[in-house]
Amino acid sequence: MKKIDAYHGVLRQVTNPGEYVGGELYEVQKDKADVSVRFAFVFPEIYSIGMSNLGMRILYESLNRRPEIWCERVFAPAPDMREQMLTHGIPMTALESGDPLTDFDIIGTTLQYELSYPTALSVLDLAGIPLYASERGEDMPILVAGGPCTYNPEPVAPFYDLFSIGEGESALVELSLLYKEMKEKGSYTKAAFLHEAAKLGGFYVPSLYDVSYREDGTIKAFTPKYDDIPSRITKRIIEDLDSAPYPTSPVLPYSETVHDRIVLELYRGCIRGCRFCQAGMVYRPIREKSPEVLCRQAKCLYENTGYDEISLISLSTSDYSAIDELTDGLLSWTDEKNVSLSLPSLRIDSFTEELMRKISGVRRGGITFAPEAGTQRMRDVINKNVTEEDLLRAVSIAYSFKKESVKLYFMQGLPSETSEDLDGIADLASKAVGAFYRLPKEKRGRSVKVTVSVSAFVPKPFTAFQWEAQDSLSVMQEKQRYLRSRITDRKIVYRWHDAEVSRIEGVLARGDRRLAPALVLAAREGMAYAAWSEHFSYEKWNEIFERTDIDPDFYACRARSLDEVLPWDIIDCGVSKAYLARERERAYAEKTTPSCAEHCNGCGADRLGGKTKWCKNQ
Amino acid sequence: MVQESVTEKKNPSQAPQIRLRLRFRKTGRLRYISHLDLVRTMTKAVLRAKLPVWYTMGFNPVPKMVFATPMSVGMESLDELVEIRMTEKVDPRWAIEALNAAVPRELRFYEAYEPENKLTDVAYAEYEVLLSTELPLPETAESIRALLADPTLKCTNLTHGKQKERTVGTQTGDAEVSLTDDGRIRMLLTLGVSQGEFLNPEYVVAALAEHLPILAGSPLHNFVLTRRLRVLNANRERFV
Ligand code: SF4
Repeated sequence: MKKIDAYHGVLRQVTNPGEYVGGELYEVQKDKADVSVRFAFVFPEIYSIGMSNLGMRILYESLNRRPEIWCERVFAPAPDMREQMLTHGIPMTALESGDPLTDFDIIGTTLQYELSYPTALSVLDLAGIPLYASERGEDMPILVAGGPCTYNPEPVAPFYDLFSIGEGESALVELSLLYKEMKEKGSYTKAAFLHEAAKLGGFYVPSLYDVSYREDGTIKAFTPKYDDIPSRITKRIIEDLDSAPYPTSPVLPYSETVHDRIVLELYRGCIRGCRFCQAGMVYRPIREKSPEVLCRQAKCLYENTGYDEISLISLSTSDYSAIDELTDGLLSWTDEKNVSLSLPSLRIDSFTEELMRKISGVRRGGITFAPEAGTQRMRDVINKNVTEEDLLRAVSIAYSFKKESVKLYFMQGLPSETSEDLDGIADLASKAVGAFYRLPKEKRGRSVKVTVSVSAFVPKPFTAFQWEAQDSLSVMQEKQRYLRSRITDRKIVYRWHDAEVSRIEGVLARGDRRLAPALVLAAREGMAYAAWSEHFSYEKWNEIFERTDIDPDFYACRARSLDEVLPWDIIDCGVSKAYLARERERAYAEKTTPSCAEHCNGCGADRLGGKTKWCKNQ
Repeated sequence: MVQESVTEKKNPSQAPQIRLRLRFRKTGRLRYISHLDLVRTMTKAVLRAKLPVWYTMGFNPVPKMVFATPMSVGMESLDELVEIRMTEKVDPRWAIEALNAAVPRELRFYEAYEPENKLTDVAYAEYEVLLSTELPLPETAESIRALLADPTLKCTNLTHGKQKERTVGTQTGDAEVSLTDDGRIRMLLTLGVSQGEFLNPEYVVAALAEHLPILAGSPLHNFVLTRRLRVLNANRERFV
């Protein structure tokens, strides 16, 4: 009997059976007998969310280019499928072969946001894999984790055998080849393998480091157990993005729930240095792809997918130094083929009429800007170098293209915030409405709606604000109420993020390995999929913290001193602690820092090398 | 039943319209995709394959695809038909090759031609229904045979959609029921697919399940696999 036939009766009872069987165009099939390493790539989210992730596509491509490795995809089942799996004892399987996860050599999990930790663990539970690395024997696969969250791997350190820190394209291939070599030589034991992997560079093996604590609960030291492993793990980068593997035939989902669009990654890193932004720091140094390579990849992707939208992504698309060359190159054929361009992350100050004309994608729907803070003082504190004038000019351009709806992103709870800064959010929104009426009637649409979306600030590792205390829940909620009372204009829609979610993110983001028992309970007691609001329960999280003797305030609401050993000090992301401390000082002095394009501020990321445009040492 | 499906794509042209009929199989894992997703996959495939498709005129030009019969999720088919309008004559062999390179491997085109008749002439389809059950096999097969022979056999509990009574026995009189080597019950049914006559084989199974506990218990052991084998014309000959 064919494997899926065995589950046919179950698949007939779930909402989206197609999401559990694979078989899409460009899915990679290999013969098990021909490969030495079977790699399962777990994205701890349901298929329709995970399939849009570019990082996963890149790693799938990088690993499968090697004939000796077969990388397959694994997504978390939706709640109805999970129910069926639990009832009927169906194990977690990979899409390509349909084989259970325990058949694999290496299981790689990508951790994209903190609230996905319980989901990641519940996938292992469904696979029948013990969660703690120390409880897994020689017969169990090697578990490696990577992704943005692993810049602070400590909260989940007890679960994974090792972490791939930084960009995984070549690191995961090297890891797989080491595995193959040791298996073939007969020198493989889990312990020997992990010790060797720790020497490859860019791999953190938590079991090889002792963590000691001070009486006040802070970390005293990380001590490596061997002399030949690094005392800090330096992240990996791809030196030259032009020659790095890029998927031009990504697996094409048939289901309509997944976004159909071509994604081009213009560069990695960010020249800006916003002080709250983790991505802006951890992806440095800035490495750009050349417009020629991007144009070639776009054409190839178009031929292979037939998609009619090209999305140019990066942390701040308009900072790409060859943006005009690239958009002109693309427009030379996209217009005629009715393919539109979209630039999802545009800076307010670079939003011009010319760009607006080019990006037909923007013509659909509303348009979003992120001033992040309501007053110039606060924007200086966070180093968001845009002014009120910039914003009003940008929204006016949008209005003049008959946009009737504009969305503005803000943060509350930033360091040094006062009620004036909150008032500033309300005022700025009113001015954005006012800018609409200042345009002559024939130059604008009929009506205007400004949506103000405010999230609560979560201090993140490797930012200038990594030492700050997060607002307590009651303060966050008080500020939300205050803002609501300040926004009275009926043309303004006020949206706020769930403060309770921000609070839990605040605990997990800067946590350490003592959080692990709480995450196990969260996974087993219904907090998987907590990223979906209907599965999130703040009360439940608190109850779990209580049962596991964890004081959430210790992680979320405590200001750290500059000399405290931070859980993520074990990682070297390129940007130095001294630079971050300097930036923190400038924040409190309300001084801005120019972008890397103006001059190099010596963040330290250039030590990692890479073909970069801006760094001084190049 | 003829179902017209239109999907968004631009580029109008005022060329002649030549119907190209394609026969395809949809098997294995592809059985779990919905009709809507199939249409979407095909629309993209036509584009990737660079077929000279004809687009509808007007404000929102779309390629026009006509499917002979809709397929329910979970059903395999060895004989499906779709018609796509082209702006010029195309070599059928090339069309097949180009399309097969542009679709998942469990979707396979195997015949293409310029048709003389209409897809509305498809009147019946032949199905194979494989039943896995924990009930004693020969006895159950016998009961099923008797039930299918009864022209008043009714289905009142549809598995999907609204509850609606439907007599299925009028179409199941000449069904064949046998046992397979791997211990399943196999039914061969010929059911109507034309407007008003369309009968989903799942309704037949649902009707049987009202009399026999064939689907009671774990879906791991009690389930039905349906496969469309051939589409037929009004004379119950293979439709070409
Ligand atoms: S080294 Fe200088 S130019 Fe390079 S990323 Fe850091 S601050 Fe920017």
